[in-house]
Amino acid sequence: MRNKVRIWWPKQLASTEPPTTSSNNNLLFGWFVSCSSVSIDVVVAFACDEASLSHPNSTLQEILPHVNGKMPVFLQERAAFSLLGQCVLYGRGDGKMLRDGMEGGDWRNSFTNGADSVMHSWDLFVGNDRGRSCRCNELDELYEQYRKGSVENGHWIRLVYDPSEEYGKDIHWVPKLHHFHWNGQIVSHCDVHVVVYEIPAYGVHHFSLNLWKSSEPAKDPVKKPKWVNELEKNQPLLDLDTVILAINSAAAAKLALETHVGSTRSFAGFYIINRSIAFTWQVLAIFVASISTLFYIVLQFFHNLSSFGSKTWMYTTSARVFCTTWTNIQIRCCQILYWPIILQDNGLRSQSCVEYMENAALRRHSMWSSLAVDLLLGNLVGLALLLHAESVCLWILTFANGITNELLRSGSVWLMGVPAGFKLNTELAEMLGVISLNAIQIWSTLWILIGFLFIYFIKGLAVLGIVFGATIPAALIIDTISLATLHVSTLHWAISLLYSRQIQALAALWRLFRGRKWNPLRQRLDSYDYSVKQHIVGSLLFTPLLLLLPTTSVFYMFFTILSTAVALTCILIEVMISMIHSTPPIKIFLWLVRRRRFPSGIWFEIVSCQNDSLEFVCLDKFCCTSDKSYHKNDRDKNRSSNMVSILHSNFLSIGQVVFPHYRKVVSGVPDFASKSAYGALTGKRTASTLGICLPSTMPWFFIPQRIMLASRRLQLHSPNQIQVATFHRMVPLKAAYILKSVDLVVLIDAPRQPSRSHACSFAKSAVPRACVCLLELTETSNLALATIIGRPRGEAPNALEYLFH
Amino acid sequence: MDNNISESPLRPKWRKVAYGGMQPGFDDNHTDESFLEDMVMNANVVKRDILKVMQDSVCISQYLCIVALVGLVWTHTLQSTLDENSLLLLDASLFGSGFLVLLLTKEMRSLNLLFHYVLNISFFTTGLYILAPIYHTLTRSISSDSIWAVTVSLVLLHLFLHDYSGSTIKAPVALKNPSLTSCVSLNASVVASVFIASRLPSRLHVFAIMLFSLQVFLFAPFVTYCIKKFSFRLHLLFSFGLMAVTLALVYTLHHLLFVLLLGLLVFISIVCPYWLIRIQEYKFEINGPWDEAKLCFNVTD
Repeated sequence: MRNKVRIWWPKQLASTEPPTTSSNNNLLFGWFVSCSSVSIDVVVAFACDEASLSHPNSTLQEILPHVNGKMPVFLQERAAFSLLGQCVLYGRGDGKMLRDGMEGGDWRNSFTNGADSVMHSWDLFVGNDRGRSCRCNELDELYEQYRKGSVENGHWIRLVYDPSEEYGKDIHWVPKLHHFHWNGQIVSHCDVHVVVYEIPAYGVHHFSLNLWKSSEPAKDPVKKPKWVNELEKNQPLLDLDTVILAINSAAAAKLALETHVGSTRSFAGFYIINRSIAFTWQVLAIFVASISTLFYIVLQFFHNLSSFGSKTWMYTTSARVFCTTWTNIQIRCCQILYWPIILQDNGLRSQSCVEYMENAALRRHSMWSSLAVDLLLGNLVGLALLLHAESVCLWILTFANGITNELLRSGSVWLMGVPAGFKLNTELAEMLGVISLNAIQIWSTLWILIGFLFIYFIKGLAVLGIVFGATIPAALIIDTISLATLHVSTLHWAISLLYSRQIQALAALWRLFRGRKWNPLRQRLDSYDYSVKQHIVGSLLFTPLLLLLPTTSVFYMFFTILSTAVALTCILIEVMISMIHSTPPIKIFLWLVRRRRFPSGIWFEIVSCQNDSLEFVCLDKFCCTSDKSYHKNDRDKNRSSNMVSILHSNFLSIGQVVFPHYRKVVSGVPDFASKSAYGALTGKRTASTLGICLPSTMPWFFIPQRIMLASRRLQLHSPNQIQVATFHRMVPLKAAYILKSVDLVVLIDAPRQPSRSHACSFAKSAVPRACVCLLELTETSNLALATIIGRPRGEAPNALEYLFH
Repeated sequence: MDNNISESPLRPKWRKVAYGGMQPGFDDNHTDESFLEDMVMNANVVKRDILKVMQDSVCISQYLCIVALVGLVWTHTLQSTLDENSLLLLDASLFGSGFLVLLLTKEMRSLNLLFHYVLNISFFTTGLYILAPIYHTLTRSISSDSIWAVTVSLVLLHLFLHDYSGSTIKAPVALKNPSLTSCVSLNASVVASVFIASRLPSRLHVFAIMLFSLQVFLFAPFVTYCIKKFSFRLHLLFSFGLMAVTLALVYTLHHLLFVLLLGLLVFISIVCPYWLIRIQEYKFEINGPWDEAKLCFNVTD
């Protein structure tokens, strides 16, 4: 099998003018990724002059490991950043020699099993006795040393370029493989596939193999055929993951090398514009941070206040009645508290790879952006509500009145007669109808009494929406609806109790007639000999129960329909709330602005193909080749195939970007529907809320310095970092002291807690050995308490998928 | 040598063993000619006499008459020819006569047992009195025809499933519980009486008729069983008296029903025994070692 070399060549190099003869050798930096013995991927990150790399203090051997250390760990494990080789002008210096060699020099076959007699002279040649086998010369002493080492032990590549060929409008030149040192052997003749890629840059684009981000792994079919398993055992020809990772890290590698070499570039000009932008940023930072601080102080105050009153009856009752509002307020408070922390720059850990940077940036900006969108919505709704408060109030009151009179009262009266042809027991129907009419009357009287407060409630709702965002008034509306329809739910509860008991009794008596008994321990029916007495009592009870069932079930159906309608309204609002929570506005915005930031999968556009055997490497599942054009004109000149293609990305559609976030919201619905339908049939009450997972509330924490933190984040994001001294003064001194001495206080405070539960006692005994941890962002979940073990590592190799909800 | 030994005619004889594995040289399902020696034909056949069978069938005719009498009482109550006071009087007299019969037939000697019965009956009476208002309005919205149809079908079910050989109610010391079919038949009769009771005009009516039906359906088989055990002659006498009274009462109610009942009684007491004797000669049953084992004693816990 012929050797295959894929050269991943940056487009920036290809589009610039080829280095002229004046600049000597272009050194190539990048990675060798090889996963099988016959194919190798050469990822070229960038090219560099010898002159620009000359550094007085450290040699190349010292610089490269440093640069490599900054790369992602996954990449470090697979391939090392190294000096790949050099690229020279075709026909310069040794070009003549090359041609001579090709036409029949002293090439010797040293390939271990080079069977093909024709091929062997083309494929390989080893160095002859002169020591310099291949004229990879003309290097400084500094690099020559390195080159020797890599030629002997690893890989060294030498590329040439031919200025005569044109490939496309942007690609002026594409290198050709001259020869290649492969584990001490020299390979000059093999299948070469040059893939031109655009160097990914943060904020512009990157490459990704994931078809659908944060989607669940595709489920395996029940049983794989044998040949699939065998196919999976084969070594893949191409380690595409590593290659893409290396491509994504190319820019970072270049940056790291340049900082190490210490080439400082001074930007001149645009000073005034820079300053003015910086000033604007600063003003904005001060503004946002002071608003956030204000919120924080108010929140902290209320939190302290509520922690005082948390034991009282009022507090617990209101927390139970307004549970949805309560949860949403907690979530909102946590968001207000945490957005500066989420916005915190993660430092170096994700800077190495553009894909990681993109993901980290999306996650960083997710919380504040959703907060901002929510606030915007809340302002829109709240302002509209505030302007039309009177008419809205009037409309709602008329609506409620109509519901009470038209639906509830007349419905109850209807049920007391002969509803829909059902033959009801008149006495029972009258009793149930009178009870429900009385309950409705009592409740509506109560509402009329406190009806004059309704206009203030509407206004309060509007103000809440303006201040806290749309979700909190929506949650409050849910709670108010469930409070206002308390009579319906109470009647439903009572009648469902009656109905379910009746059904259960009927089932039990029916089992009695069949001589069976339900065994609750084994969850099955046992046969049982009932005595005559039990049979008589059973049959005496069974007849009235069976004959009264239609009456009960008609009333049960009526109230079930009513309470289901109410619950459906609440669920709709709840779904809307969780939609607002889970919509990623920053993603949608970025997708609208720059679609290239959401790649999914890659494909290759083949520009030219010089091939004699048409041995076509079918790349992996991700690529679809297009524009296949084969040129077979250079058959005589070179027998090795040479293919040039351009790497492109597919992009996610808006549905693919957004839908994974909604999947959690939607996932609970079918289960809930089936459960509540079953509950409605058997008369058991089920939960009236969907219980959609809202964003988890994070632990409340006291970091008084978060004010500084917020301002510092904003400063970090401002282009010019100027100390904002005013913020530091806003930190209360006492709070700073509390933070400083927290682990002293906790030793005294924690054992004093009165609880006797096991978990609490465990926590008590654990506290003396505890220490204060930072809240860190993790790759898989949102926040975790970080415990530092050993040296800080880069991103976890198996946590490539970011889940943010 | 070896060949001679193995082919020698000294084959081991086949033996009938329950456990012991396969015997060499024989199939797994091998039996010898002694298999059919143990076969018994018509082992349990009883030679029946037509007079005996007719005497036994009197039981069924008697119970049929009792049910017909209950139906008569129902009809008369629904037609308001029987008022509630006379119904209650009937209840009381039935109670008294029943207990008298039980005492006289020596079945009930223990006073304790009698007390037990009285307690149960008082419980039932109280329960019925409490439930009577519920029964009263239970089927007001349902038409009378469907009620009658359901009642007749339930009574037929009751008659089919009734345990004519013994009585559903037994002394509490009896080991066996009544079988499921007899319980189902009892349930059917109770439900039928509930349906009838729910059509009545007053609560006292409902209570009286329910009490009457329960008394008859629960205790009449027991009383007749006791009489039969006490003296077969008395049993026959009682049965024929009951039949005559029933036929007379039915005749006053409806002539067609009288004819129907008479025909049924004749069919049960004369035609059916003759039929049974006639088909008796076709009976053929075999028993043998292939039958599954039967317990010859009662397993009690």
